[in-house]
Amino acid sequence: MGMDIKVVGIGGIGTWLLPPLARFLTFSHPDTQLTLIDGDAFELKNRERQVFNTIGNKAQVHTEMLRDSFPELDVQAVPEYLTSENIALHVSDQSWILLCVDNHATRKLISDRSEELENVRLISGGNELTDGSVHVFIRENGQNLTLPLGNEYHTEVAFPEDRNPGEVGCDELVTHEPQLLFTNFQIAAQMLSRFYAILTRGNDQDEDLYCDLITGNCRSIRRRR
Amino acid sequence: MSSVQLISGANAESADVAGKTLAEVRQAYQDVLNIDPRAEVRLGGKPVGPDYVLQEGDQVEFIKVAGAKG
Repeated sequence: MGMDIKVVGIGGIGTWLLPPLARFLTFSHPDTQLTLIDGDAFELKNRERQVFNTIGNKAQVHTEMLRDSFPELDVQAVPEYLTSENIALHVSDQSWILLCVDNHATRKLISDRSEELENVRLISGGNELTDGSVHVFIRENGQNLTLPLGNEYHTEVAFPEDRNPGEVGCDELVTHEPQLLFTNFQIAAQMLSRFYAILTRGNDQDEDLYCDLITGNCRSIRRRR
Repeated sequence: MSSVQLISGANAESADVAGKTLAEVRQAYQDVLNIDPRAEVRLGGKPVGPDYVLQEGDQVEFIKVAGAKG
């Protein structure tokens, strides 16, 4: 059976991550099931940072784009935000989850759900204006191999102050701060690097990877003792 | 003066700051290391306060918060 990969959040990071991921899977793991999950819709103002060819739900638009480019790959859309109501349906055991959302509330929701599963590989990316980070949470046979996304080093995720747009019912309540597409792109690339490292080298990985666009530095840090 | 390793996210520097407090070092290196004002400080993985006087060989991390946006 092929991999089950969920990409959650098809925005600034997600739209840059998907094409190389789909291309890689098509030629290296063609039996993958790739599911795109997002409840938001593209607007014209998103053109500054995000890649899309038509207005519409983000998951559905990119599913069609990927099906056109890579018809061999099984790509499905879930045009919904993940919430406490539907997460058990969409995040299941043995999944890879590439988390490209823009709020810690959703990161916590998915990390908490992952702790209920026996086996999961969660790669979460996020950024500020010119720097960002990628965090890895892996469970194997019911045991945490790494720390969950919300932990003693990342209380901002353990106790999020922002809101999941799916829980409040309106994404206008999510704060929108300036972002740079180069930073989105860099974090997407680093998420894929973590994906490839886990896929080829196994589950023994550092939890945190930080990148700084201005200094050009990247640093990987192991948190668990 | 002796060397202390300072880490903030992707950035790190060895600095001759032994004998200075964390608060002084934080202010002096805030821009160079892009230290987040919200960052908790850890010494050898354990929380440490602003009045701690740095010693040679210390490894200090200003824990950068996870990137929020996307």
